[in-house]
Parts: sequence; C-alpha cells; structure tokens
Amino acid sequence: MAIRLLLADDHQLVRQSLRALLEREGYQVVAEAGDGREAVRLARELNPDLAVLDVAMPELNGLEAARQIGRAAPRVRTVLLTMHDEEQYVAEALAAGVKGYVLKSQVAHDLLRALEEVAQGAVYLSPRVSHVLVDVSLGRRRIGDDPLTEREREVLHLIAEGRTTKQVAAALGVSVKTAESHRSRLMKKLDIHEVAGLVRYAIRRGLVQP
Amino acid sequence: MTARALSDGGAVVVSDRSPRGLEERLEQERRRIAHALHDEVAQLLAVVQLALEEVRAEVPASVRSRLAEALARIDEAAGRVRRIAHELRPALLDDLGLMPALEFLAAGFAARGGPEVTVEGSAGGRPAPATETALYRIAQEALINVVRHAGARRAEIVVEAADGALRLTVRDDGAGFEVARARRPGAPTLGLLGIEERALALGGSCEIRSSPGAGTELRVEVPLGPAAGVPLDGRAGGLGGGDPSAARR
Repeated sequence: MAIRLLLADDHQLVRQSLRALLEREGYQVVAEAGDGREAVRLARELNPDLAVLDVAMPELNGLEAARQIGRAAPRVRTVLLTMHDEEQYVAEALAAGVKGYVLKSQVAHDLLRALEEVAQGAVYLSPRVSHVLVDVSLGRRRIGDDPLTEREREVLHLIAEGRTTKQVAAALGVSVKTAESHRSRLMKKLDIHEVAGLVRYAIRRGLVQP
Repeated sequence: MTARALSDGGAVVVSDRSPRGLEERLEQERRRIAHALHDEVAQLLAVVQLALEEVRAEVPASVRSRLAEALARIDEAAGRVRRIAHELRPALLDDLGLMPALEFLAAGFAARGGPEVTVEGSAGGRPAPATETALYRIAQEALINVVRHAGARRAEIVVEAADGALRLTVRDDGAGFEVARARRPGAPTLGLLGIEERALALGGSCEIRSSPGAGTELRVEVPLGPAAGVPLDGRAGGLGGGDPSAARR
C-alpha cells in the first residue's frame, strides 16, 4: 500500500514540484496545506503516515505545527523541509519531535531518502546538519530556552540515563562533591526536585530517548 | 534626518520621532526585506534547483557537467541571499527566540576569528518582541565593541529573568577602558550611546563597569511586563552613586 503523505508549504510552486516528485516515486499525497494551522487540522483529520512541513509558514510555523501534530496525531511522523541550516533550528526541531530534517537546497538528493528512512521509523537529517543530533544527544548543545550550563546538561543527561551521582562523577572525571553540586544546582534551576521529573524533562528536551 | 526628510517635501511621513519609534520602524523594515529575500527569492531558487536536478538525470553526460556547474552557482546565490537576509534580521530571533539567536550570534563572532563567546541563562520564556530585538541588538553592539576595542580572548553573555525584569550581561577579559573618560563630550562613544538608548527606550537601565586592564562588563536590565514605557523624568536607572568605576544611567 502506498505511503500516505501530507504536504505543507505556503508556496504553491514548491508544493507543485514536490508533489510531482513524490507521486512519481509512488507516494500518495493525501492533502496539501498552505499554512501551519491547516497542516495540523489536516494531520488530525486524515492521519497520514508522514507530514512534510516547511518551517516558514504563516499562521503557525513548521516547528510549532510539528509540535502540535505530535500531540494531536502522534502516529504521524513529521519531516521538516526548510531553507534554514542554522544548528539552532535543527536542535529545536529535534526537541519538537521531528523525525526528519531536510534542507531545501538538498531536496533532490535528500528528500526521498529521508522519507524512506522516516517511514521505517528512523530519524534522518541532511548530512550538512546531521552533527547536531550528536551534539544534542551528548548534552553539548542547549535547545531553545534552556537555563542549564553545558556541564549541568551533561549531568542531567547522565542522571536521566539512570546513573547515580557517584557514577556521574566517575563519567565526568570530577569529584562526587562536584557532581553533587551540579546536580543540586540544576534541580534548583529547573525547579524539579525528584529524578522522575528530571527524566521527563530530559526526554522533553530531546536529551534522551524515551 | 527626520527633520530633513520632512523639509524635503514630506516624502517620508514620520509621526513618532522618538528614537524608539524610529528604531522600531527600521527593525520592521529589516524584517520585511529579510523575509522577502529568505522566503521568496531563496524559495524560488530552491524550486529551480529541484527542476534542474531532475533534468540532470535525463541529459547526456556532456551536458551534465555544465548543468552541475550551473547548479553550484545557484547554490551559491541561494547561500548569499540567505546570508544577506540573516544580516538584516535573523529569522532565528522571531522563530526561536532570544537565546538561540544569541547563541548563533556568539558562534558567528568566534567563527570569524573573534573571541570565544559563551551564552548562558534563560529569558524565562518568550519576552515581548521589542524586548527580544533590543537585547539582541545590544548584545550584538557589545560584541562588536569587544572585537574592535577590547582584544579579548573570551567573552560571556548571560541572560537572567527575575523579579519582573530581564537582565543581559556581556562580560569580556579584554583591555577595558576608563569609563569616566569615555563619557566626556567628544570622546569616541564605543557604541555605548546606542546601547543606552535602546535600554532606556524600554524603560530599562544600563550600567558599564570597566577599567584599563580589567575587562569590561555591560549590564542591561529591562522590565519584562507588557507596555514598558520611557519614564518622563528619565529616572530609569537612577544615578548610581558610590562606586566610581560604575557609570549608570
């Protein structure tokens, strides 16, 4: 059965050429949306396998649309198709639960590959920006408005993986006392006071996979 | 400039002559042009790229390499358009907010051979767009100063939200200067005037601490509440007394 796909971009010309490309490859484009809000509505109504979203859209940008689709229709896998190659966008997209990130300049090379991978449950980022995934998962990079320092994010990452303070200290090559103070400082900053809460926060931030 | 524009026949109608009003309109204009470049020109180039990429598979090998050459030029043009748009006003600031925009700014300075700049803290959510813009531009101006005058190796940007206010601190380990001397009439302003103007326009305050050899610290604090205005008596920050190394306005 053909993979069902929703296409959202505010440029009709872009939608047209993408649609032609995708249909030639056997995808079934079940709907097109011209803005983010419409994309969310259609995703909820039609429950497609994939939603390909532009970032710069009126009403609701693609990042926010992806976030809302994730809540309203969690079965739909979202792929961002964008001009933005800044790492901050990629990090934010991952935090929004996006499964694919394709640069518009690389569409011809990357989009079909990305859709194939994402449809099978994998995550795909255009090679030019794929290093961000590594940075994020190691806690080296903040996502959005994150009050933590890099060190505190590393500690959070390790705690969320279930390590004890002693193990955290060993992993980072610092004393238990230092690890303990990182830990209490980050808990205070986040106003989260038990480990389960930290794990939830880390998952939401994309620091660890659920 | 406003006065001249009006006397030249009123080609430009300016109803709000405060620096804040002018700056806001400039920023809107930058945003509009950046958006048009990024979203219209660059998108069209992407469509052309896709069309040519598809043709490439169908043409004889002799034509293919010339086509590849043309595609590379289009890629270059698209990159340039994006860069110009970004320099006018980073879309990041609108799409993602102050912290990611500051991070990108900091990385850019380091990548161009400037000091290493770290960004820490949190704006505690998304402040009003005018506040985000002002703090971003202030940080940008401050980093330009660091690069031009301070010869610093490291700089640090910290954002803190507390007690209904948002505080931006830009610190460097560079040459520093005598604050009192920099304030004398006729002294090079180091862009400090613009920074102060932006802070005051939001009803905030601005403080610079520096002395030769000891680096520089700029602290700007603006209220987080909606509709922050300029106090009429200009009392915004109060005249901080006591510390001779601190100039406050």
